[in-house]
Amino acid sequence: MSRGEGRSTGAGAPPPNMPSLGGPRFGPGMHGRGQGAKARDFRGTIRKLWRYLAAHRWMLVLIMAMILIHVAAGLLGPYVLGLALDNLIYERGEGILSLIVLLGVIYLVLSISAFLQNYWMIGVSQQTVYRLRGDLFNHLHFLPIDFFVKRRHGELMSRVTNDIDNVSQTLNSSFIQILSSVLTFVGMLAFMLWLSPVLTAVTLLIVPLMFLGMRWITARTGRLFKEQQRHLGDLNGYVEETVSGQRVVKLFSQENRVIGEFMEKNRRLRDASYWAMVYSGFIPKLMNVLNNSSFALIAGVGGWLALRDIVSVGTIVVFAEYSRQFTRPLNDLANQFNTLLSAVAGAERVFEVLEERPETEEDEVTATRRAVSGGAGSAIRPAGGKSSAAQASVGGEMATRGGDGRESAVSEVGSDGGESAVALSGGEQWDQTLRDLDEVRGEIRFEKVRFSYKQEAGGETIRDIDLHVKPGQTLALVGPTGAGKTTITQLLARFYDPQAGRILIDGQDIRYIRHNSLRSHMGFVLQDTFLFEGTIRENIRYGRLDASDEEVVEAARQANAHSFIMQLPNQYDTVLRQDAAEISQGQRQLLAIARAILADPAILILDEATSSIDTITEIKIQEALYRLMKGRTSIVVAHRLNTIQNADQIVVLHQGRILEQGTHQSLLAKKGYYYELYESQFKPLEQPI
Amino acid sequence: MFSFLKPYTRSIAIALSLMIVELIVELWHPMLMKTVINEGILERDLSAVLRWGGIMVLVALVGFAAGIVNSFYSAHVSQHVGYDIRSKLYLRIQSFSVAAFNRFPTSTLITRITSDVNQLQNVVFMGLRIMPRAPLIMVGALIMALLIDVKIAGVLLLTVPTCVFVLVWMMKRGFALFRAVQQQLDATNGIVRENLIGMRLIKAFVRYRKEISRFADSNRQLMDRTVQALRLIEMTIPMLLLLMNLGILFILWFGHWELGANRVDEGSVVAIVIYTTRITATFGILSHILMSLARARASAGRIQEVLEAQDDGESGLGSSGAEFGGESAAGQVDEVAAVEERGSSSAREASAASIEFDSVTFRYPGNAEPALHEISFVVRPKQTVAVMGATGSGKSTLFQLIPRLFEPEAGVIYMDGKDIRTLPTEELRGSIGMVPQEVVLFTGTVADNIRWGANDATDEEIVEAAKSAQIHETILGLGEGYETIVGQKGVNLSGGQKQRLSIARALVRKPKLLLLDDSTSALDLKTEARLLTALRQYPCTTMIITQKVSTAMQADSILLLDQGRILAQGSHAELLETSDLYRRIVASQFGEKAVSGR
Repeated sequence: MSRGEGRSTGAGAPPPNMPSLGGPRFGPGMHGRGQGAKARDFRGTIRKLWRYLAAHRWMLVLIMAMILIHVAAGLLGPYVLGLALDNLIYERGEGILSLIVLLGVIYLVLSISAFLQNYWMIGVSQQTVYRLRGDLFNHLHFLPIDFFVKRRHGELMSRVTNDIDNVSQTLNSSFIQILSSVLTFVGMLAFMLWLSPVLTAVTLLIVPLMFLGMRWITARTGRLFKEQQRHLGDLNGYVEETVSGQRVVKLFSQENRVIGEFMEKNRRLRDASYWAMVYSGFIPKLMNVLNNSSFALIAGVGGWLALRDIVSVGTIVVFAEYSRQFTRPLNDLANQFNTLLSAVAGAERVFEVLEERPETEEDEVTATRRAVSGGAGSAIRPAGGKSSAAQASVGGEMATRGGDGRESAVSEVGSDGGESAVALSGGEQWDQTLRDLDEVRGEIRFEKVRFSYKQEAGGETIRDIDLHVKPGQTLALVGPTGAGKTTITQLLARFYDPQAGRILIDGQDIRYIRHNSLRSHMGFVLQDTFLFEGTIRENIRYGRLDASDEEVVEAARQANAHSFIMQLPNQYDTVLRQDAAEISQGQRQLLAIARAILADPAILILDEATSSIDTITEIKIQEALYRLMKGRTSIVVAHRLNTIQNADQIVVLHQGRILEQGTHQSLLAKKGYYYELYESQFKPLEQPI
Repeated sequence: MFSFLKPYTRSIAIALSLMIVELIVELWHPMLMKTVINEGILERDLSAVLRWGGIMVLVALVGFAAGIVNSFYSAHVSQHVGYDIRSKLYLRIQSFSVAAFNRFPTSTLITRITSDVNQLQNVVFMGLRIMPRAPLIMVGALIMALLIDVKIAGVLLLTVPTCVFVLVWMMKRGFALFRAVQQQLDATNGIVRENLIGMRLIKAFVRYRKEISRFADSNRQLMDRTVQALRLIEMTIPMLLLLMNLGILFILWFGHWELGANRVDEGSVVAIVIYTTRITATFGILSHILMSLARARASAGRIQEVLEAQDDGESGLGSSGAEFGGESAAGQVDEVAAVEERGSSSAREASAASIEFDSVTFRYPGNAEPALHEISFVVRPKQTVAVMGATGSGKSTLFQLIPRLFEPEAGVIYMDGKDIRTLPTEELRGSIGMVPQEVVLFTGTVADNIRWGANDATDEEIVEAAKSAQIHETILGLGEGYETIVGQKGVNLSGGQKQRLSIARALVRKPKLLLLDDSTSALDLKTEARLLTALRQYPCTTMIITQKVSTAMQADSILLLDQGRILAQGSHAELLETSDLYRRIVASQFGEKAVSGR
């Protein structure tokens, strides 16, 4: 049951110390919880976590009451048992029945309270985690694209998975454990003092010994585990690299070299782990010997006291029992504290994402977040058929251009979001100037647009770009890598906002148009075609959620995808997996085109794939693209010149500036950069080889 | 899997006997307690109390000493076993033929060699220290209790087996439930991963509502399943506790009758009660043990799958790897180093090879249709041959047969007139410089990565190769030039930069045969042209898979593949005349004019 995913470098956490007296506690991932870094703002994070837990505060009170009862019963049990034994020894069992009944009641309460506290806590913790996970996921959808570009998927993945998991497990068990450990320790101490101060002192003798011993050991293990972790990470990284690159290893006959290096790393790990394991192995042994000698001490001293009739045999037995349990709460506390720290650090990382500023429109996000965290998840899960149906149709409408009665659906979404925001914040966040875009003719204008991915000045990606595309025209962007071609399309879709200048669609500044409204009028065929896990049909339907099966097939036909789909084992119901090996890169593009055809947008953004697509599929793609581009305003990021010779405008970009602009013919006549580029690609054709 | 323990029999025996010493101490204590009560307190004999109390402390210290020494032996055995398994697995994986390798997804191989081995290693450690203790304490305490008084302790014969039975049932059921939790967790995380990767698309199509509701469903199921699994356990454990405690009540009640009838002494009842509490305490540990064992079994199964995978592909290394075991690690490494020396110096003088395919047919394992069908062609020394065709037409497959990553089903491949099967794998591969489609770089400096192609390359040779691969300037622009760390933990290079670096790695070998598998796809036209010009200066035979007609035109000959067969071969001009498909390809890239204009 290995949990989480991504790099498995954390797999080698310290070997599990089997608690020699541990309570019956188990669940997946008990051991080997990574020693996450410590939280920077411990209190702040706890406060934020409390906001999630507060919804269950009455439940938590009940749970605490149960813990209290459980601890009390746990302490009383051995005491009454001692009384019963005394009764046997001194009174030969006279009137023991009432003691047995009492003990029975205590045992019953013990089990019931254990059951209830855990039963309730699991409910509370899992609901909390459910909401936390949901909120995090939802929030991700409102973050600017920039956020994802800056971070690696793996790192974000680990926040949504490992960190939340860590919080989940800690809430499941640590909360109860910590509380009951503290209570048990305090209760036991009080109880023992009341029974016999002398024997208590004897029992306490082991505490400083334990403390010293543990410090001696952990001072060593801490360093050793760090060392072990380093070697383990080193080895894991090496395995990952050489195993994924096995073919290259073979091609270059480097097997012996990698095996040699692996053996060396493996040996270093073994030697580092050996001492870590030895020292950590001392811990339970130390606990054991202290418990055992304290048991013996109590027997000796207790016996001596019993001879003087200061204590009874029953008390000795009770103390003997306590002496075995005495170190447990301390031990548990130490263990739980580490998990707690790493869970809080995990929670902090989660909240970091949650506090990340969303895309510039505040209204939608706040509304959704409020709904999500407020109603115990009712908002995330479309309650009842009505809202989910509405949702589906709204999604569909939004992707569709023009048409009668459709604009109302789009604006409905907007006002819906707006209203809730008003209700939440008294209207201050409701930006009056934000609009929805209803019908779009597809006129695009860039006016002196400047943009840089980095905040600091200089090194701008694009500078002073002026463009004008009339409805239905095709604009091709040409230029070397890094010239800013893709950036222009990203600005148009408002994945980023320009630092200066403005972009107009049908004469409206897009800064005042809602992201979603804006994007719903655009169709995208992006460089790397992303397909979801699901059937081909579902993947095409992503373009318009309410499309009928016939419409999906028709779109596939238009996109030249129908014939290859029909050759797949399950045709339209073929399930695509991640890194779908079933279909080629080119076929993915065809599916993306089908998706865009189904969406039927007014503006089309096309980022040609740089990766090579086989020539035959390429022909099909071009056919399909011509069909798709007809009657739409299209912006094409071109890597090959052959596709764009018919474009109405070709813009040659160089280092973020427009170098040349015109039609294919006029640019060739100009004999400038475009001409040179064209020549370099087509020249060989004219000279015999 | 137990064979891995064999070399350490002596250490294991010592560790286990030390563990038993500890166990005896544990079990002896309540007996000593009984003596303290009966002979000391009840007889009012102080010296007896002190004598037996002293013996108890002494015994405890003996147990402690045994435990400490045990730690050393257990750690020794488990670390060495882990080391051995890892070594053997890694050797096995490296000796896999590509065909066998492909049966295991890379990610699972990595987890097998890391976390699965770790799992086993921990179980061995625990197995030598604690694991046998819980059942032994349970059985031992039960026997001791029964020896003291079979009638009073008799009730334990009923409660203990019942509890064990319920515990095992719960574990089984719990495992099924936790598996379901894990599945759902994977599904939920899958949605997250998809969304992270496809965020641009989701934003572009404004589909966040759909995604959020999809995630919410999965998330809710995850919560439901987790709650169900955890609650099963929280329900069972208090039940077991209650059952064992009822046993204590019965012992007290029955003990008092027996005591009344003078059939038993006080100390005995106390000792039996103490033994019973010990048994109760072991249940928690027992559940741990059962869980660890179940996990270890799964891990062992996964490891075994790799070790026992059928594979007759690779010659040479596999056999020596299989012999590898226990203590011989150091020797193996030396041997490895020796082989390395030999390997590197083989094919460094530049020359060109000829390649001939003679009706080669190849089928991927488990596929009905052959990937290559009776392929025949000849490439003369110093020629450049371009290979074109649709995806799945067999281009890359064809390349992989030449360095014998796969073996053809029928037909022969000749290099310099010799059947490649007669050449030692190392010599064959040593003369080939291949640039695979997917670029793999290793963590290390730029120079290290290029030197990967030829271990004894001088710095000048590396720079020369980098210059030819058009990457020299870029490298100098990196922070620390050739000493810049690249790969997973290093700086990020663009796709084109990685491609050029892996070309440099192939060139530094001064190969007789250069195989470029679509290795210029991410380069812009100018860089590619410069690269191709530079390649012409290498006196080697070159085969290049490409999609670009402009690249193919510069080759001496073009092979056009379609569905595993050669559809046409010849120069650009010849193919324009003879092949309809080729004309269509040219038209798609250059426009109709280019075809008709000639």
